[in-house]
Amino acid sequence: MGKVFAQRLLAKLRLRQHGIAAPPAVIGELFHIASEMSHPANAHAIEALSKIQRWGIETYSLISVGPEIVEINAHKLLGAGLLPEGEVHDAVIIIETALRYIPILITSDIHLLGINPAKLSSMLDDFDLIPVTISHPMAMLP
Amino acid sequence: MLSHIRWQSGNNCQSWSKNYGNPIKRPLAEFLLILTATNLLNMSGKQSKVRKSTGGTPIAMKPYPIDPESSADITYPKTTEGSKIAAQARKHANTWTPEKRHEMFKRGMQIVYGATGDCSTKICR
Repeated sequence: MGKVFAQRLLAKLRLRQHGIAAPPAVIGELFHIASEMSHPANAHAIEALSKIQRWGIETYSLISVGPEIVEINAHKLLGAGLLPEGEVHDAVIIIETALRYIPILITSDIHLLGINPAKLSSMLDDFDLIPVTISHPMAMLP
Repeated sequence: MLSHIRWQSGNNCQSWSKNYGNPIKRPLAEFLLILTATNLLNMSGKQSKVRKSTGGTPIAMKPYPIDPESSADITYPKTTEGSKIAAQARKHANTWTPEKRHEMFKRGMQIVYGATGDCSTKICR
């Protein structure tokens, strides 16, 4: 069942008929929590992966683009100082979101939420990608 | 009389299907949103609320459907257990190569599609 606030977010997004997706980097992250971290949350990560389709959350792969292209663009975001040094995974999530033409990224990550939106839009425009708005889940629950 | 009602309701279902298509079919999404691992971790796991019976034995509450419009006092916390774990995982993920990242995605997708993700099958290799 999960936490009430998270289920309410999912219900609210469904009510508004928004499509919801999880990018490849997030699927990998969940698998890492499930398999390689010794933490009580392992079971939650496995549950999230196995129920993701039942919750109506779309998964997608970017095989046609290639992981190297994603990585190069992610490093360009880091090079521009949009994210703290070394936060490659956060940058990869942004690029994967934009490559799937998804306009909103919902996250609680401090680094992602701290990005300058104008600078990010300008950078993504340089890569011929759509602008991505990064938002805290709370903003989706007015 | 009962059989008549049954027939009628069955007929109504058929005509609904004929006129409006499959009622279960989801409408087209307005636009897509991305969720990160934090949100997904918070969606899984057990409800923390338990109700005590008169005998003092805790009984797990039945899962209830969340009404998105009611319970306006429910707010999404700034930091959650899920966000702390996801931050730890992301620290590790920052050191991954593109190949490792792709490998982790592939194995995660195996669980999504019902396998164990342990790469013990030939198809994985």
